Amino acid sequence: MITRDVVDTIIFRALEALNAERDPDDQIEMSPATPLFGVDAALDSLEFVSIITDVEASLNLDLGLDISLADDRALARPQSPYATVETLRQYILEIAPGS
Amino acid sequence: MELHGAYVTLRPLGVEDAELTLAWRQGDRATLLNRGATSVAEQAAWIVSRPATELNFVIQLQSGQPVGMLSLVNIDEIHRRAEPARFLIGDPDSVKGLPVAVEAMKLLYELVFDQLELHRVYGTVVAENRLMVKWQKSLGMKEEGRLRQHYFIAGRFHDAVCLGMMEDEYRTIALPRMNAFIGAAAAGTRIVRRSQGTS
Repeated sequence: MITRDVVDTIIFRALEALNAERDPDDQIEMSPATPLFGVDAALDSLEFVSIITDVEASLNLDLGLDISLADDRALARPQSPYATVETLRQYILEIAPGS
Repeated sequence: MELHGAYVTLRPLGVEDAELTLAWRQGDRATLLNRGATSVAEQAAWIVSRPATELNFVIQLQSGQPVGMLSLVNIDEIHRRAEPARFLIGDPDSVKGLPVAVEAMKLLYELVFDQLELHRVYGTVVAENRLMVKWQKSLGMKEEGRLRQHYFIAGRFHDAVCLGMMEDEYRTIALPRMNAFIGAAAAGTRIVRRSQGTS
């Protein structure tokens, strides 16, 4: 069963992979409140898409979930699911089967 | 030819853009692109000499501020294919929180598949440019191979990752993902504007 902790682990692992590509003094904070996309985010658009792609891949490889985080469902929400780690986690838990 | 989106416009690259685009090409973000001109005069000459098989654009915000560049090269109407190239966001601070890169690429793909009615886009990316490879794959490109030591950049050889996408993959995979990223970003923008009391 997919849980909040499992999803957090997957998202933070994607952020760790991104931090490995960044300068040591320019690391992304590991927090539920970390902005992923928007004016407050430290990620540029390439890095943001990289995070979404890595999370999708981990959901598939680790949990067998073949879900897209970038489709009409994301569009239909009044609040962007990409705003922060927490909103992305909530979105995943909402759309993942068995959550 | 100008291509208009919600956030950006792609307008033709002109000789008046030589100084700005040279500065972008010489910036840190362009270290894994091919080296080009080394002076404004060389850059201007390069812009003037672009062949008819290329369309070169400046990415500009709706305010008119130029923030990057993007090209479509090797346009081949016989084999119905073309190569997106020279993609560079030169002013990242000005595009923060905006889906500029995604929308710029979407506008280029609309040109390729809807206006020029081509069948395929393709290209190569320096293998070490992992974020760009991942970004292109996330937006529908598929890895088709690897060219060993294909580029000589900054004093050494680099492999190239070959990427390609057919029209049907664009319509079924790339376009929905690009629309989602752009649309969700718009939702984020609305939230910011509401919190600032502007809408």
